[in-house]
Amino acid sequence: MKDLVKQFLDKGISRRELTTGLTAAGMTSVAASAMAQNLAQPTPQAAAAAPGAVRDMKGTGGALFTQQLKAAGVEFIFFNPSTADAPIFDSLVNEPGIQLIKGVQEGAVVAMADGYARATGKLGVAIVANVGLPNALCQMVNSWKDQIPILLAAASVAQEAVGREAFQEYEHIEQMTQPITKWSWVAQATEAIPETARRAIKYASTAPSGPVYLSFPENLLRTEASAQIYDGALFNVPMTMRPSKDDIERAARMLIEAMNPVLSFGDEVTLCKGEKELVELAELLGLPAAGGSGALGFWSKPFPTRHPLYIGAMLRQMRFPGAVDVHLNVGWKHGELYMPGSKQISIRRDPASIARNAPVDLPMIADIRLALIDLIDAVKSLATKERLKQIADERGQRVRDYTSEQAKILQKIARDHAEGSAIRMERLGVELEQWLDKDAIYVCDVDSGKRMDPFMSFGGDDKSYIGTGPNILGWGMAAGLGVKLAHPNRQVLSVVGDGSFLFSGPQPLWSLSRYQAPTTSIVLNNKSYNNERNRIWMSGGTQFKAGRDMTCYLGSPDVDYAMLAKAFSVDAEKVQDASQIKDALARAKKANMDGRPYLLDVNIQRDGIGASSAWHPEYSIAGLRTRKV
Amino acid sequence: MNRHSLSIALLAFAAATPALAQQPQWPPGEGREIVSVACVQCHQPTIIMTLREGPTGWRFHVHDMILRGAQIKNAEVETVVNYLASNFAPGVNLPPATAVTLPEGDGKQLVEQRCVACHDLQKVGTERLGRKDWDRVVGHMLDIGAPMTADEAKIITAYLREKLPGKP
Repeated sequence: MKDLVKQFLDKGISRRELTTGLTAAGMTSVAASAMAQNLAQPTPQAAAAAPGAVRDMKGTGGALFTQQLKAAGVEFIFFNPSTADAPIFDSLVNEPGIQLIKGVQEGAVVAMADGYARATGKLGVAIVANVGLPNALCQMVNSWKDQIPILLAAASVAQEAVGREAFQEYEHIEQMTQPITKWSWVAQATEAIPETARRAIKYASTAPSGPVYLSFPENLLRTEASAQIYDGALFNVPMTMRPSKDDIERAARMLIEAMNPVLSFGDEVTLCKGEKELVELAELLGLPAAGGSGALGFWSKPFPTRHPLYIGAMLRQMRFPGAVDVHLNVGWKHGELYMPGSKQISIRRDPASIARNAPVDLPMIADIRLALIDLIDAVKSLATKERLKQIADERGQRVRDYTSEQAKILQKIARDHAEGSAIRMERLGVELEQWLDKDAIYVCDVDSGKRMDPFMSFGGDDKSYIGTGPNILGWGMAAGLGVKLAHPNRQVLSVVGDGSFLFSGPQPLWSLSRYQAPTTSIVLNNKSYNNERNRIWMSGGTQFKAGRDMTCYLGSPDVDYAMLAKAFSVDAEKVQDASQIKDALARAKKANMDGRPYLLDVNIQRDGIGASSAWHPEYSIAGLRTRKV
Repeated sequence: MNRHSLSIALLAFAAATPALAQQPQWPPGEGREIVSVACVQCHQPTIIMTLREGPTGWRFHVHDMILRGAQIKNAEVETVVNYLASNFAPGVNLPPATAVTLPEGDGKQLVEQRCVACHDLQKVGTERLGRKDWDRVVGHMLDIGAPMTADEAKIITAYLREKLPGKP
């Protein structure tokens, strides 16, 4: 066996030959495959062997911080400046290796970093003004719930001033970050700043990933010290855990023998880049695949939505495929709550949340992609090709029959809305599907606008979908910039509701304009928190009975979002009628191709309960006056 | 009567919602079995039972729910629409209404007779809309099944324009 491994490492034999040899020597095919996989991957330690991986450096605390970030592979810092963090930015004057991307409000800064991190899988770094930290935290809830690696940093008051009501000092600032960070820390000494940064990067990046917060007292950033800078490979070790062989084989056997299994999936598949393997497993076993919702099930679409095995959203009670006997949940926090009574297999990368809310018969903690590879290998080793084909054909046919019928409904709905002047979500969804490039990235920050999604195709070789799970609105336009920065050669469309636009304010437009980010932003302007009103009114309360929308109407004042965009030198237009959509989209694409951002203010039809009403409580503060002042 | 779609809570809440206890009884009829499962995965049935619409209106709701993930098969759509449009049609088993006094004028009686077939008159009495908006609202009501003729709709629109005016 040692000889086989040596031959493989010396490139004498192929990986397949190694697997075959190990199996012949007595290993199970799963174990042999796992060993071959591990041997084929360069280890972090191997990368660490490069000369210069650790170097001594002398500089200000600001310079030590940025050099440690650079050594860890950070290329961009999203920021909003303050006086105290000047040493950080001083250190970048002659440092071309890190590009600064400025936002003009902390929420936008974090959303840009978050979008970049979602689109790349890399760490997003945001530095914000100390006094604006609470603004940043609002958007960071998205990163926290969706397990996006973000390093948020701020310069704080000097150590000698702490507790003395110093300028812009306020109590409990670091503690505010604790509930939504994996780690929150105040740097203690200048020479320890690189080490502190390394720890922060490690906490943020290690699965389950998430945001961390670092506070740098301003005196530490100004002071000079000597410290060591490590290359990222020396400390940022990828978590490539695999499930146990026994568990994998048990799961494989259950899935092969199941009478009516179902597969559910969530965002951990995306976080582990296991999309291809997920589809391969579903196809191998003819598994109907249902998408997630809620926690870690909502912000990406890792399974192709036009795949014939994709059956739509997972529900508490599935009319199709009916009574399920085995439920395989892959990478979805919420998934274990579904299909009670069936045998539950759950593969998750988050040990804290697996089997937390519902019993799981076979829980496995692992890197999702590696677990899927092992599961595929185990399935193949436990059944002949002929038997697997028979299983996949029989199960798959039932699923295909169902999904092909459902596709007809979509076509009918699309036809129903193909005419007329009103711009409905359905119509816009169809138009966008035709307009978007095959490899476009669709950034979604809407509530009621999600109704367009079924008319578009995402996942696999098709468009990418990036949203947020918690729906902390005001994220989309800024996140779109981060996504475009990550993938400058792909078309990026950011769709926000008018509510979402007003949550973020126009601040993202500043960055889009400043950095010539050629994205298209669409504002779905229905003059309402549309879904919110629907949810409130569906309860049948007094607002519903009286027809009085006390809270959700946004049409007074009737905001002109195109005009707002133009104020930031972003080309924009209003789209009032369905006949205008195609030409407007063409102009947007042309502007993007020319290197300019573009915004479309689309007069989308308000819908749902109480949609006809424009009633809202009239109240005038001017009317309170007794003097005209 | 309400415009276009139920547009109800996202499926994100589906799993978090405990099993729905003490559900109101669905009326008998073909489609009951489908509706009683497919339409309660994300919300209570009460809202369906409160609405009153014709086939066009209910078809829109059903399509909307399918877009949001409801599992209704292509071949079942019309069965579901017929069930809802039969049992929750304008004028059928209306919930109790609040008494509202509308301004006097031609068309008042028609509004009181036709609009209450689907919803509380309070919803009309509180509204203040511009002329085009009243045209749009009444036209939509006609589309989704309000029990009025085109001529009656014109009289109702004229009354609402004059008596309950808002910003143009």
